[in-house]
Amino acid sequence: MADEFDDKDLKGSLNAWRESADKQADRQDWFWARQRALISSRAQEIQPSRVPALAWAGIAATLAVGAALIIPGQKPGPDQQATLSKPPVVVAKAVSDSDLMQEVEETMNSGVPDALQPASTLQQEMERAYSGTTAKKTKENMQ
Amino acid sequence: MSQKVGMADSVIPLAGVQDKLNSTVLTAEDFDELVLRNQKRIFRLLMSLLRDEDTADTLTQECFLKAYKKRASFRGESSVDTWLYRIAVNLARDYQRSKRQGFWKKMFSATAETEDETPLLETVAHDGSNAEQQLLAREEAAQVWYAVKRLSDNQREVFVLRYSEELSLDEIARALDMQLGTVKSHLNRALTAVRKRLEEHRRGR
Repeated sequence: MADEFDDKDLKGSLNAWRESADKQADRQDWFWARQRALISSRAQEIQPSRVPALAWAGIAATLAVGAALIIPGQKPGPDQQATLSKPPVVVAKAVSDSDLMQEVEETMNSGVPDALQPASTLQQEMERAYSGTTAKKTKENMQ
Repeated sequence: MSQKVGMADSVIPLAGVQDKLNSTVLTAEDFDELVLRNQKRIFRLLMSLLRDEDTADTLTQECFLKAYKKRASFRGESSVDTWLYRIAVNLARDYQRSKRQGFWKKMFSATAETEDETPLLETVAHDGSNAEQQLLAREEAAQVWYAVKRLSDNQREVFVLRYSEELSLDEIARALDMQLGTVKSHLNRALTAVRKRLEEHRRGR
């Protein structure tokens, strides 16, 4: 037999090999049915679901809120929080009556602002009336 | 005699399934049909590449599940068959890569060598030819398997797709994402190696 392996020989060998490959992969019907069932059940497990989408939406919303709180300058500091939460405290300054009267008198004698001009006029009228009344009573007393 | 699924099945029109894959509305029924029409050839391809029934079975399942997951990325540039072949070949490559990195392969390589050579003689069909011809065919098929096992991954993939799955060179190029010239080069080297093995066997008889 010749050592050379011509194309016809090669083709015959390849055909034999292909039949071998077919036979090697040949299986009973139950094998294919089982394989299809396994593929089908596993495919159903990977069906896209809405639950993950909703979960992602919830995570995104949480992250957004968290980021808003964490960003510097956005969160009010402790002092600001105290200012916002507590009403302003007005501390009344204790002033005695005599001091108050003296302060008013000094203000009146130190020149009157335009805004207080009507009050100044009123005071002058009252002083004039008071001095007139006093003089009249003095005359009556003298008579 | 085993029922051949290669050429006969590859001409089954899959236009309906392909259209649905393109529109990404593959229903459960469409997917079952896709599996039914392609599972035998995908299993056979993986058996030819890997020579391990359990692995071929598992990777066949993975192939269809991957196709199902990635159905939206199927652009219809190639046929569904070619697309599935590509997924299967990639799975086989990943498996072989991980297997090579394994410790056990080195431990049991010597025994595996002898174990999977013996059944080769039993895998050739028995038809009506005489006993001597049957024996000769079985021996030659075993020698081809021996040579195929020693090819590079790329050469083996091209060889199996060409001579077992009977794909055209263009289809092989698409399935393996290779240039046509590269496919021809791999196929030529694979055939040279197979021929050499057969010649050596003939001389040794």
